[in-house]
Order: sequence, then structure tokens, then C-alpha cells
Amino acid sequence: MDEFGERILTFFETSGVRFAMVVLIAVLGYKAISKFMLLIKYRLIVSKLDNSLVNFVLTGVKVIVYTGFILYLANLLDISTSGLMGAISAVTLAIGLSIQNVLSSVANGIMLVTTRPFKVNDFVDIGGITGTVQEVTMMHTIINTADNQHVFIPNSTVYSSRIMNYSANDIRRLVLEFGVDYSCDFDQVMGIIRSAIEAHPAVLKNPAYTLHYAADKDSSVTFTAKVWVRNEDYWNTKWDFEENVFRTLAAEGVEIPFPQITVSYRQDGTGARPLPAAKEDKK
Amino acid sequence: MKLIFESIREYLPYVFVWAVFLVIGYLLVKRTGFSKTPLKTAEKLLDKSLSMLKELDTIEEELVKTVTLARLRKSLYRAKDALSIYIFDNRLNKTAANAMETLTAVTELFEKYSMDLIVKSNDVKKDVQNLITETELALAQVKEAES
Repeated sequence: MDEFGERILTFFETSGVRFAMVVLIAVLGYKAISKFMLLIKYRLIVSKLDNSLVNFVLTGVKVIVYTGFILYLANLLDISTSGLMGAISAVTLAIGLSIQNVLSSVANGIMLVTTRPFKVNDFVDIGGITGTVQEVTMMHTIINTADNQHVFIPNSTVYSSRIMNYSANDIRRLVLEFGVDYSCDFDQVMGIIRSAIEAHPAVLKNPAYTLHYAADKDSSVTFTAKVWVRNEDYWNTKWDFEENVFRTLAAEGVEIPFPQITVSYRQDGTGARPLPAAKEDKK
Repeated sequence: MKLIFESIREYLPYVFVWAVFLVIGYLLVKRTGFSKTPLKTAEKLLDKSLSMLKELDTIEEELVKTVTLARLRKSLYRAKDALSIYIFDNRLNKTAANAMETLTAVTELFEKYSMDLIVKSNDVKKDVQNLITETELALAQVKEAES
């Protein structure tokens, strides 16, 4: 019994106290790191960075700092960190190989939040999908389409796609085309379009609008108006113009041509192509 | 026993260093006015701002008035920071977003008008007071929803 007691005492003297001290350092260190992490979080949020970027940075810093701290504690306990580092590298490699696509999305997500081709609430077109950016997560970019559907696009797809950001500038150019009959009075048509543009409150004075004779088409002459509007007025202005100009042109007797199809119907069946004769069976 | 003391002595510098880090971290966090309860911090700062706004009417010296207004402005901005942190942690909270909107409207008043004008104009001061009270009400709703 004395020998057993002595063994416990020796263990306590040699390893126990050291272990207790390292636990104390771990607690103090964890609390100190937490405070500094709070500070980093505070600075990042206050600096008005995008929320997704704040999340990325915080997660990245946390992983690096806590891994370093664990290695530091292992070192204090005289545990060989080179072996641990090797193990971490092997595990990282294995995980990396198995989730290559996932990691590619994460890496592209990092690129997206650092290069920032768009931000939350921007109206974008990503590879043909149009909508408002809801969130950029580690893996996906979430888009809310105009018909209120949530679309999750993998960040790797987003990064390799053509991105059109309609909210990048405050104003947009609206191109409107009006086709009228060749027999119309061109000056009258241009006057009608011009007064519709000048009367519309959403049309910006600067940059100024342009109106010109654009093209001779098969059955119509096309006039093109290019007006500048604020992003939020784009669609309403477009619809307003299309309706108002059409109504005014019709009221003024300006003919608007449209494709027509003539269908002939013969009651006696003459002119109809005869049905192919049925093949006779070879006997 | 000697071994125990030797072990303690060996690790004591590390303990001391981390304890110092902890104290520095704690002081820095305290200095920013940011705590684990940012909502409470925002509420406190708004209370402080309101009392400073009321104090403005009793101060006679122009210089003291301007200094008080500058302090009021600072505390409003800090309240905004605290609220941003709360919103970051609770992104779907619409009431908190409303509170942020009114608080942003207050700070915009400070951007729009000069300090002198705010000190002299009772209308602007009333606007500031109304918006702060509105923000406080929104924060109370957030707290109520939380509890």
C-alpha cells in the first residue's frame, strides 16, 4: 500500500501538477483568445464589411488560432508536435481529396467575397439565373428570383459563370424600339415618342436621352429611343412607355404593322395534295 | 514536494503571460463598449444619449453644449455599432432591423446638419429625441420577443 501511495505521489509530483498547470494555461488562453476574437468580430462588423465576408474571416481566423493554440498546449506537455502536425496534414489531405468539389466551392466562395462582383441585395444575372442575391455562404450563393424562388448556386459555378450585376451602377439605360408603317409621317412619330419621353418623370435629364431612326425592316420602320432611368424605375418606365406610346400612336392614326398569315380553306378539297397510295403486299 | 514547486515555477511564467493577455483582452473589449449582450449595450447608450439631449437645454455655455452634442453623437454611433453586432448574430430579427433603421435616421441627422444648427434648432432636437425614443421602443420589442 505504501508503494502504491508513493507511486501516486510521484505521478502527481511529476505529471499531475504539470497537467494541472497546462489545464490552467488552457483555460486562461481560451478566455484570452475569445476576448481577442470578440474584438476582431467587433472591428469587422463595425467596418461595414459584407456579413458573408465577416463570417469567412472569423471562421478562418478561429480555425488557425485554435489549431495553433492546441499545438502550443501539446508542446507544453512535451507531446511531440511534429507527429501531430503530420497527422493533421494527413487528415487534411484525405479530407481534401474526398471533398474536392466542396473545397472548390469554398475556395470560390472566398474569391467571391474578396473580389465582390456583387453584394447582398444586388440584382444579378448569374449564368442565366436572374434574381436578387440573398446570401453568399461558404458553399452556395443564394438567389431569390423574381417569381420568389430560392435558387442555391454552388460557388464554383458562380465563379466560372458570366455575372451581370444590374445594381452595380445607380442608373441604367433603357432601350425602346418602336416599329411603324412605311407610309407614316416620320416627324409625327418622332414627335410623339419625344413628348412621351420628356413628359415621363422617371427619365433622367442627365445623361440625355437619344432618339433616332434605327432600321428599315421587312414591313416596318424602327425608331430607337435610349433613355436613362434609375435602377428601381427600369421596369415601370419600360412598361409605361410601351403602353403610352402605343396608345398615342394608335390614337393619332399611325399604323403599327404586325406579321399576318393568310389561311386558305377550300371546301371542295381541290388543290389538296393526294394521299400516297398504299403499297401492295408482295405475294 | 520539491518537484511540485519546481513544476509550478516552470509553468508560472506561461500562466502569467496568458493572464496578462486575458486582462488586456478584457480591457480592450470593455473599452469598445461591446459586451456579450450588445442589445443591452445599445439600450444603455440610447438612454445615455437621451439624458444628454435633455441636458442640452439646461447648459448655457455654447462650447459645453457643442462638446455634449459631440458626446451624444459618439454614443449614438456606438449604439449603432452594438446593434449591428446584435443584427449580425440574429439576422432574421425584423424588429431589430427596424430599430437599426430609426437609429440610422438619427445618425443621418447628425450628418445632414451642423453641430451648431442642431444645438440651436429645437425642431432638429425634437426629431433626434423622437427617433431615439422610437429606437428604444423597437429595442424593447426585440427584448420582449427574446424573453
